[in-house]
Amino acid sequence: MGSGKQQKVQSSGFTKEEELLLQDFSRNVSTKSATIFYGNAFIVSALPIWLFWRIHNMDLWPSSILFVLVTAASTYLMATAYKNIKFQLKHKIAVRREEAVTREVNRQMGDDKKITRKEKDERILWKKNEVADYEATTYSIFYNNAIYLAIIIFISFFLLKNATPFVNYIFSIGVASGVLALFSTSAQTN
Amino acid sequence: MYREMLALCLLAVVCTTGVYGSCKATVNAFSTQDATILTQVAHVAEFSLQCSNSAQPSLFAEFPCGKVVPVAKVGDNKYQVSWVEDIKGGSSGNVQVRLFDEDGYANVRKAQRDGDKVSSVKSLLDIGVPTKGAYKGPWIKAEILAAILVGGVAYFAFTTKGKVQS
Repeated sequence: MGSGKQQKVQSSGFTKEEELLLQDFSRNVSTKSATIFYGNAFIVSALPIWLFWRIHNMDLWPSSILFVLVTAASTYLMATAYKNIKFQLKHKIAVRREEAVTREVNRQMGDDKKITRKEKDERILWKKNEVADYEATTYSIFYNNAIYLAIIIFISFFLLKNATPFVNYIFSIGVASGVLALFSTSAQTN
Repeated sequence: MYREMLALCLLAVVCTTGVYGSCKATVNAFSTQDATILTQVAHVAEFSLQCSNSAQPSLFAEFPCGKVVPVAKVGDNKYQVSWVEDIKGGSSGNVQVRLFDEDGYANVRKAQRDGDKVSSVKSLLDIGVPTKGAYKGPWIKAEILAAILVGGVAYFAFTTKGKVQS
């Protein structure tokens, strides 16, 4: 993916440029992105264990099965939310960054006569895709984590403050991750 | 004539200084420091009383609220008085405690029975007990602070997403 200079036809039947364009609009994420998403989703899903163990006084070992199950479910839902939000934002970010990326690539290329116009466009497309992918990934993680933790704190400390820690844990984590996964699938209004 | 004059002077001295003469007190005070899980705080005042005639009277203390309680004698010339108050109504600063001997206490009771003001009864000694306010926990609870902070971050994330998508 990194070269972007070769204009060969891929085994899928698409040119490199078409591949890049498809990647721009694709909902699929690379293995690297998936690893980042699942890693982050696991960390943020496991964090509330400390909260419920130390603050809400849940017993760690007797509740360990519950912790594992809820954390696993939450990890999956959060990773889905990351992926969907990234998809929503990637193209918008790509459009916003297009001008700056074009200017940057043109400056880097300079007056290199060896590079054809097509190769330059391909390089711009690849760079734009890379920038948008990076920004959308990091922003998606930030957005979902912020909303997730805000929902958990609100539910566990205010809404269900008189409930048992067991019920409080299941509902606060379940609702937070469920709501994020659900709303991440909503169609864009803008 | 000379003897009569002397007797009159002695009577005047006894009247102004009382039976125990002039008394002086050195006060040490202690107040509850941590009231995070309490509903009332306690104040203890321990004082040494030194009267000019070395007397060690039985004492009664009157608090600003009007309550009169006996003062415990905890040692030679040492006395102790304590009281509790609700945290919400509690205050820090100097509390003026009026001390009465037995005669004074009898006068206080008489004034209470007659419906007169207790403040008009002359006390043996007034002491100022320095009281401190107890720690009632942080000004803002940790969960509220956490909710405000994470709410702010979530709001920023939400509005930024809107800007990106617009």
